[in-house]
Amino acid sequence: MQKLYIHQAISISTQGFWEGFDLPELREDLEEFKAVDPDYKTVIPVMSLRRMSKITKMALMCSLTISKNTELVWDGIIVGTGLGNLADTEKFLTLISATDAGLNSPTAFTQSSHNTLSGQIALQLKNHGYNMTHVQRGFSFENALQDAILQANCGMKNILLGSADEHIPLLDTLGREMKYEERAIVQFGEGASFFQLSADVPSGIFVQDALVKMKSENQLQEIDSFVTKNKVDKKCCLLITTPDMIVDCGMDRKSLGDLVGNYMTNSGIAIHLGCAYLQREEYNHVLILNANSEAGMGLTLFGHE
Amino acid sequence: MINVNVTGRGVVTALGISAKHHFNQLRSGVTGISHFQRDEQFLYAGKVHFTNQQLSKLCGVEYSDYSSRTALLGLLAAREALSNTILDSRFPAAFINGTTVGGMDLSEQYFEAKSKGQPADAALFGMHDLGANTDFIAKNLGDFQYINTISTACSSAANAIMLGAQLIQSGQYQRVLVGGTDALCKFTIEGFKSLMIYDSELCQPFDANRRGLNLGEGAAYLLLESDESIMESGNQCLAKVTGWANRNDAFHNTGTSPEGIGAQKAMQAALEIANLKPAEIDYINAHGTGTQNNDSSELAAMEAVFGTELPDFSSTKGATGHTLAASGAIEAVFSVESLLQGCAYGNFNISEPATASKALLRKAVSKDIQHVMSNSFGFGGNSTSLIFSKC
Repeated sequence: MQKLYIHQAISISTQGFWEGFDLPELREDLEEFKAVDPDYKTVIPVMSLRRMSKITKMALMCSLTISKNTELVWDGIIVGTGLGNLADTEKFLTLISATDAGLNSPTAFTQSSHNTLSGQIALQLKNHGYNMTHVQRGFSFENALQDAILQANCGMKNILLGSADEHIPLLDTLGREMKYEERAIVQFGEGASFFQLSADVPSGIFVQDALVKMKSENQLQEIDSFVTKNKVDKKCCLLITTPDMIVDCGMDRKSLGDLVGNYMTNSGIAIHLGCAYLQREEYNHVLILNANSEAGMGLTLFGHE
Repeated sequence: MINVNVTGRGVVTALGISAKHHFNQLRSGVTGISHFQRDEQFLYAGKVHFTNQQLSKLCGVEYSDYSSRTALLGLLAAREALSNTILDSRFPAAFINGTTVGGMDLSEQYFEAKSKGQPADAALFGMHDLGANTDFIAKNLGDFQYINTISTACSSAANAIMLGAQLIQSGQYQRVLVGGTDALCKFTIEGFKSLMIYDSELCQPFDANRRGLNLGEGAAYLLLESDESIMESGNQCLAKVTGWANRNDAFHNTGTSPEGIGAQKAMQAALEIANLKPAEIDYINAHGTGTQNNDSSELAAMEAVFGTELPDFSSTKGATGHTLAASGAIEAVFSVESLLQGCAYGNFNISEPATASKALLRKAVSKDIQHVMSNSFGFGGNSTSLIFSKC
């Protein structure tokens, strides 16, 4: 594939508000994984802010801050979300199960749509370009990235790519009812990450290759053939995994679960973290292993110039 | 340039099952919208006339309380799309599904039990996430190397078709199954009622006195194949996807701009991709929901793109109801039938047309059709336009 350059990255997670590639020291002793609330007022109009759920606020905070830093008009806005606007969905479900045929306020309904994020970004920026929302469980972000690569191949130049998922207490309740382990429930996380991508203007860090497999029988073998194909020196490559990986694969490793918690699109923030390591030139490559799905896997490789 | 060939299609709506049956119903002017009762309320909706048990049987899967209606409708239509075609071959296939409600019908049961103080079953949320519905359909069909779900409100399936077409044209995949599915549920019915755009009578798209939409449910899929894939499969080319574009209206979260900016841009860009002049479009299957806002901005946008010489156009939502995420795929199947049978469909229920233009068809018209445009617009400003052409 042709290189896709990363010019900016902004994320919100339990680790804080990350702007750019120089990141503050990571906290590895976290006991809960709710994302911080940055000062949303800096980019989101106060009037709109009041009605917005956290996922929308996080996505707008990241995407509008990126947009503020550049003069570019996006050719495409591409978003991945696993579960979408859970808080608004829960609100409207509660409303309609309480009142049988009453007249309800439409706000929660209209905001519950999965494309609220990409739609709101376009609305705030008055952007008429390509606008897409991918919702494929643990691969929602990977599929959004694949779309960005495809659009770049079709001639798109400036792309705003991002992902977001929010946590609501109902998830904990459902987790307990489904007899999940308490540790797993505590690790339910949330966050948003957005990136400025360019197909033609180079920057220091780029996406080199991306692969999503819906089924993979041997994870280690897949990783090996992927790094071999891309001529990656394992000793100079950092592997960032979504959940913990038990088997050793000859690369330095970091696991996201203890850093930002588990949510369907946390591979988005893995990329942001990877950019920080590449910026410091600690590694030649960063490989993201998305093992959020039981059957398949996602591999995304980044390099620096 | 690699052609994007349509070699299979399947559809289920309130009108029934199968592409051929739908064509006959549409040409005869039959509507599938009827009285629908739910929670002591009577309303007009395009309800598919099968229970979940019946749908399971028709799809050849075991009935389960935990299978969403959206997934069952999807599987039924997908099976038809693949029925006369060969999928098992040396080419890896992709599946792209559009949906907005997913397993909402099951999530509602959980909330209803909770609100009555009854014990609620958390497993009912198993298909709440939209991708779970896509995975259910995929695993019952066969092996797909790439599986994706698009959720861009009422343009979801149209965007799934567009993405599939691009995967074929870029050479990444030779075979892609594309489309969408959405079931009727309390969530969307109450949602559109809360917006005051649910017509309590039969909906009247493009009528001067239209009052709103009737919801419907259904699913439809197209099998897309590259030229190379057709050579190998021997599947017949039914139509080609020649134009596509996705733009944003960027005007309001739910309403469209008066001049239909997003719609204009999508139609223009789709014509450019197809390398067609506006005059070469023989029929437009409009989005035409029946709301004041949509139909007037879509009309304005069509006039801006096509000038005074509008091509024949109509909305088929008076027959199916607005099937939300599925509508783009259902109407894509109608567009393919339109090309195959040489027929532009009539609009439904017009007593006083919203435009003086004769292009708004009140009855089905038989004529040679080379190129059909199909529009899909949704919440969030999402506007997608597709063009289907004769093989």
